[in-house]
Amino acid sequence: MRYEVNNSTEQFSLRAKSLKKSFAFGDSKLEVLRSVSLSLKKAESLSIQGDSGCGKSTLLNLLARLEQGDDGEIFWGNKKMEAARKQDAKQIAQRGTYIGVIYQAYYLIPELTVFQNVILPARLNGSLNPQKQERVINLLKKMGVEQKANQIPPKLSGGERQRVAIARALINSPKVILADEPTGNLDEKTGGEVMDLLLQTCEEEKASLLLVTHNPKFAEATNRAAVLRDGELNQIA
Amino acid sequence: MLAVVGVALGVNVMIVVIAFMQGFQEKFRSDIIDAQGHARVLPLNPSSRTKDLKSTLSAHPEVVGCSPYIQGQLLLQNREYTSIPHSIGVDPVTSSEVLPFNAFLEKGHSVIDAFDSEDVTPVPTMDSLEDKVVFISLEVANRLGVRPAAILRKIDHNKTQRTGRKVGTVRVQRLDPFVSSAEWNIEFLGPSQVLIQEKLSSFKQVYDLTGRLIDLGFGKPVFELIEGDHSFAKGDTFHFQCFRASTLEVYSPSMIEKAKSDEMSPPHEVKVGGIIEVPWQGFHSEVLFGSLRFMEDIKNQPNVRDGYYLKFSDNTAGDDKKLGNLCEELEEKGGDDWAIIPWFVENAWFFELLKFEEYLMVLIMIPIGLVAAFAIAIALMTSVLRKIKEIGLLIAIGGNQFSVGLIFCLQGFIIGSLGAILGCGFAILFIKYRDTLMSFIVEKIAGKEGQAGVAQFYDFYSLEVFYPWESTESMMTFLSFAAFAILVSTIAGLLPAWRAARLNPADALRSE
Ligand SMILES: Nc1ncnc2c1ncn2[C@@H]1O[C@H](COP(=O)(O)OP(=O)(O)OP(=O)(O)O)[C@@H](O)[C@H]1O
Ligand SMILES: [Mg+2]
Repeated sequence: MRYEVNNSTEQFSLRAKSLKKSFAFGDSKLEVLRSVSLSLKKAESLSIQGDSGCGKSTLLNLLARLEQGDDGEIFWGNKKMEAARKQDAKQIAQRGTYIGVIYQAYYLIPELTVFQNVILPARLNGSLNPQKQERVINLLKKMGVEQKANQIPPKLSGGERQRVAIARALINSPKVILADEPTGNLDEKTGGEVMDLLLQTCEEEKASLLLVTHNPKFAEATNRAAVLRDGELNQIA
Repeated sequence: MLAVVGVALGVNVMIVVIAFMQGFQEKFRSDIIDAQGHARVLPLNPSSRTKDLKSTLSAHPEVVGCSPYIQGQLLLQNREYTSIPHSIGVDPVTSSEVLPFNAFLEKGHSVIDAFDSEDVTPVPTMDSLEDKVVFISLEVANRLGVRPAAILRKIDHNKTQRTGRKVGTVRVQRLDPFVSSAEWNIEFLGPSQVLIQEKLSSFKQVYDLTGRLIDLGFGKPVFELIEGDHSFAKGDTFHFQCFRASTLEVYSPSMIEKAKSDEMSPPHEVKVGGIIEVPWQGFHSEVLFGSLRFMEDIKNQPNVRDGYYLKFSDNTAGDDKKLGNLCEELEEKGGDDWAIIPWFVENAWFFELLKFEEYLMVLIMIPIGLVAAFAIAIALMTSVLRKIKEIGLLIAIGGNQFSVGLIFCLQGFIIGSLGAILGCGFAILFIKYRDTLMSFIVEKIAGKEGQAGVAQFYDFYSLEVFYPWESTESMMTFLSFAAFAILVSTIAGLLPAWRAARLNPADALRSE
């Protein structure tokens, strides 16, 4: 069955309507997303599975407005955006507080300490204050890496790095977390631990989670699961 | 941080080169002013040539020195050798207010090297410029084979080696140009009595010491006792060998005129009072300085003045514009009587040359600066390329292009600032240790012997290079190059960051 948009707005933190995206290769065109729609309730978690190269990362980029789509609409809460439009300054400013991102490759800044890395989003949107610093410590504690606060990321293990990246994604208390294969670089056991932490904290923080993963076990752990295939998103459970 | 070092080196080299250029200019400037004062007054008509202009000129509050001179060409002869130096008669008393003659004499003074004796000839001073005494440049002295009076003290090797303590000695305080060749012997008879003997003239005198000086009167050296750790004791003896000054025969053009009409007048005979060296290379190399009266006599033109050297207060002298204005003001006072020429006008040719050289330097510096700027830009650009994913991430976690650009701008600014500070530091160190450094380099290239020669040519040792806190000009150099470096670095950081920030963040994150 198609995964349809629910029309009652209030309780949704993220929605997408008929997203289209294709890449041009010289003359030919690669249609990655044909028509993707989804809606995510507050504090709800949704997993997306799919073959490699089917466009999962592209979908997340579109939702985070890091990339322009060809057509369709995106809602951050009530805020409606044309996917094909270029992002404006206001959206950029809002992204830092509305959306948190987690990637497979962590993307921590190697020159900054763990603490500085986690507080960076706050610094970038100018909301740096003592409470935020306290929040950094609390998040690191939750992630079990508070004793590494003054280390630099290259000295951390993969699991530890991803925990730090999760803390960074949460620092501005975003409504939505977009996680792109957060356990892709981790072994089964560590990946499981990190995933448990991620799900648990998102619930505590009341953040919706959109999780891209290859692991059916992790997909089961989310409230709902969907598969991206042939440019369309279908719910499986 | 290679980029910082690069910036530092660039800044350092630029500052040092410019500082040395300024040092050279400053040196030339002071040498020229030493050689001819801040300005020269040239009487324009016969009546003003015989008028005494000094009182009128000195009346102006900005004029701190004014001294007349007479100049001309004289023929000097010593046996079969002749020389025709540029000859200047100066006032022995007031000329030192304007030109540092005593320093010139000190520069020209040379010391005789001898194995068993020490040259103790005192440096001659303007005080000894009597009417029958002249100072000549080394070139003239060498051409004629003449030299001023000299006195050597025999070294008693047994005695000096005996103790490590400072021994009392006898110096020569004054050696007037009229001393005759002699061998002096000073023997202590007691702590306050000496026996003085002269071998050649069989002079012998017991001298009761009242002070530290032994003054035997005109034509004899004035000795001075320098106490050591012990006072002098009976039996202490000092030997001196004194060489008289050469005598020169001087002819003036008017005397040669007379000789044609068979009224041959005898030549003037003068003593060589000292060797004088004027450090300004543009000055006549064959030169003679005598007293005003000597020149009047020999030219047979009493009371004629060929010009005046002027020296102004520091307030005026420090500012070429003020100096020029003052010269004009003084010139107007004299009506048509005189012209007043500031030093930089008289030597304009030389400064044009320096200017030209400076332009050339700037032409060379600009590409060097550009290369440095490129190096900085490339260094920063590669660092941005390396960080392109991080830039994507910064945008993904809520940064905007402006703040990301700012980070890299800031990085450039920090690199530039550090480099500029380091560069200035290096430059100060270089200036501070330039002598050590130069002599090290010269020694490596030319060896120990070559060192003296090179030093003489380039005068690096005496070159005064100002620290930024010593002169505003030097401060300007430091500041402008530091500012330049910072600006270039900031812009160089901004350009790649701007490019990176414009990049699609998704592409940036995907990039390998
Ligand atoms: N900037 C781009 N230019 C051209 N093609 C692109 C671009 N970005 C993505 N693609 C293509 O779009 C398709 C989807 O890429 P995407 O990264 O979204 O896949 P994915 O589902 O995340 O795969 P994986 O599971 O391997 O991460 C791929 O075939 C890829 O080659
Ligand atoms: Mg992907």
